[in-house]
Amino acid sequence: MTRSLAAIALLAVLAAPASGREETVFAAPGQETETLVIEASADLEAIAPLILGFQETAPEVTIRYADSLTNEVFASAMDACTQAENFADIVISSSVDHIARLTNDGCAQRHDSPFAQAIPEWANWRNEAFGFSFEPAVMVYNSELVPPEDVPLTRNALVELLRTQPETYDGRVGTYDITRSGIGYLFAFFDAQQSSVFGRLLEGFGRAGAVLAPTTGDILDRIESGQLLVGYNLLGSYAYGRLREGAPLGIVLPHDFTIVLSRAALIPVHAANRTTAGRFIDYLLSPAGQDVAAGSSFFFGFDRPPPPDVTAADDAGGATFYRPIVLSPSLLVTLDQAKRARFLAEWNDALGTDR
Amino acid sequence: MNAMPTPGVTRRRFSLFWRLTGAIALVLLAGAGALTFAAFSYARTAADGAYDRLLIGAARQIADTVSAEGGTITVDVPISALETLSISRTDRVYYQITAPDGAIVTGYEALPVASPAIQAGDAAHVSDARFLDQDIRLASVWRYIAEQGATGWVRISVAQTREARNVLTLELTLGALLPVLAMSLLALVVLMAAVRIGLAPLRRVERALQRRDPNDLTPLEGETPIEVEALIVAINRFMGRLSDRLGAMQRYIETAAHQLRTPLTGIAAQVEMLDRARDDKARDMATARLRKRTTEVGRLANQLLSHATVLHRAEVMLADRIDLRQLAEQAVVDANIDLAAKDLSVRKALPESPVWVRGDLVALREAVRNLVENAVHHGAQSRVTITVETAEEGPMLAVHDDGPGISPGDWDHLLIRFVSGKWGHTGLGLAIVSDVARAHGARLGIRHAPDGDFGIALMFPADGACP
Repeated sequence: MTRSLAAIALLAVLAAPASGREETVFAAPGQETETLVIEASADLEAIAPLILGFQETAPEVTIRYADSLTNEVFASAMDACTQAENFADIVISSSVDHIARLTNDGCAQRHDSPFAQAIPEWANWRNEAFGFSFEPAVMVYNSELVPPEDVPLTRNALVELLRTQPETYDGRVGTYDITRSGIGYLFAFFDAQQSSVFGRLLEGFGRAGAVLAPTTGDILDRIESGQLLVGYNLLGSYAYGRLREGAPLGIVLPHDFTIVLSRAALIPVHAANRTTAGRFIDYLLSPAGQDVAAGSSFFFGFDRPPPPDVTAADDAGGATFYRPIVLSPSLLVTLDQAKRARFLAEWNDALGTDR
Repeated sequence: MNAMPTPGVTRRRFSLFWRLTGAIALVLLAGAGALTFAAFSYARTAADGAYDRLLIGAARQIADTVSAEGGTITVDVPISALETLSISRTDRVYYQITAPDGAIVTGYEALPVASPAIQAGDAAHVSDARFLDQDIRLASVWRYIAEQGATGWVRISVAQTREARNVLTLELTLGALLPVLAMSLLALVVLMAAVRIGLAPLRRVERALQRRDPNDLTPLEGETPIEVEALIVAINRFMGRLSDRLGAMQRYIETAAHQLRTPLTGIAAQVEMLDRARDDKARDMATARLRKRTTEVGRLANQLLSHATVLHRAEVMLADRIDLRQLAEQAVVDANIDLAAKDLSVRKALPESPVWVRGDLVALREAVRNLVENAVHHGAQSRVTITVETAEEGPMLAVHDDGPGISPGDWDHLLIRFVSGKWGHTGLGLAIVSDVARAHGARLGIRHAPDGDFGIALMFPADGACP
């Protein structure tokens, strides 16, 4: 970690002001012979340890890493695909529906990784799109302000909490604004697919005047500050990062079921440097890469117990009932505009967000 | 003899067995190929049948969510519909929903949906197409919407790539291929064994021939199948001829040696007498006798060589087309005779048109020459007549002379080779003629001319004659 921090300190940071696209160059630690271009929608903080870890195995590679909004990455990748142009060597996005669409449209190229067997089947589609992280949607509470008996372990418990203690929790519960957050939309969509509790939960949020925010970070800030007490469907990795740094947070993997998303990477079909791109994918899936992902980037991992200070259904084994978002063409549905409009309308109705 | 097979034997065995095996293998291979193709076609149909049902099911699931709200067609694509198609985890999935007016409600706009010729209706339609550089299978179903402002058939098209189908097709084909291959191999092995058994009689013949003493020319015996019988008969006939030929040669050499020995001994005695001759008269007499003896020996040697020639040619093909008249003319030229010394005349009674026979020219010339010489040396008093005619039973050549002739008792005797009767060495000449006649299928017989002359006739078979 010391090494990576030192390395990050040396980074040249280039900002592209108009789009909010930020490019970072990780100079090759050894004699540079090639460059790998990564277009991503993922926080640099989370990805940097993986890039540095990769450069340990490939010191001759300079990596140009650009971070943009998911929609921008998707649009650029789609354009490059239809124009048959080189866009990047690797595309990474947490909007796995974008990744699924790119793959379905033949915009990704196949890579037979020797480590493809190490990740679960749901995180690998056609050996073209690879999920490499394990990110549960969690409930987060302020551990100083929420008494242990109030801590909700299931969705039903949260509904009950909001119903029985409006005086405490009205206006002090927060979740993603799914109209502005891709990952929030995915979590909500698959939550709704999974059970009818979600409908009642939304009604509860509506009655309690839930606070909506576009990022997990925003909500975590407010929970830390005490403005909010409970957050729902937040990214477990971000929350745990705060927790590790001493924030007064508690994290619950919902015991009824926990939605899991895997950030995915693919090699665009017209990538210039496909060999090194393949090596990077191999690293992400390799035990070494998975260790870094679970240790420094995302804190959760495939087939690993959750960190010890996370409340899971079974602390020892982490045998929480995970419901992964399967990387497959069924994700096309989440991109269907009519479907999306309908879902958002229902969501807005339930939350009463016309206010 | 049979310790090591000679290269020739090995090559013969190779060709028969392996040619049959090769032909069988080719037939089996072609059969296996045809079966594999049939299995592939069937597997592809089966795979398409199975996956088409999923595809239509997914389309119907989507169709169930089609509705019209305020004159606008809307559809709520259920995730379960696409999940059904994602079961294989390999195929890409595309869909497109089209309103009655042709406007695309949602989905892939460029999807090559069913051609306009396809009529909307309750039945699903499935077809092959290409999309985004891939082969796809495309299913369309229709749903009739009757709402204010939006009435008509809404088309729901769902497509998927062929990967899972191809995998299933391959699996099914391989599953069928294995038994086909196993059966073909089994058939090949069994048929090879059958060929080996079938060829066993040939091998028995071969072994019998190998084991045989080189001097053993008796016919091959033992049970043989019909197919090999002709071969055995041919071999036996060949061995019979070889045996006859060898016997003839052997007898010939024995008699020739015997025949030459006596006159040579006589010559030696004459030479001794010449040495002992006291006066010129005695010497002249001895010299004359010696000359007579040597002439005789010379003639005998000529006859022996002539006979050897005939003997060698006795069984060759009767390939030449010969005019008996020319043969008669030639015979007078060929004959080793001094007509003046004997005061003889030679006449020829020949027809005007050619008399053709098929035969061996050299052998026939020898035969006629011998007949003429025989007549001149041993019978003729004043004349020799050579007659050629076409008799009713076939062409005939006869040599007559006005000599005493041969009694029927002597005749039979004379035909046996090398018998020296009162005619000295005449027997040899007639034996030659007899051999040639036999080789030509002709008869040799006594013939009395109208003027009483004694004659010997060569009578050719009518079917041996040529037009």
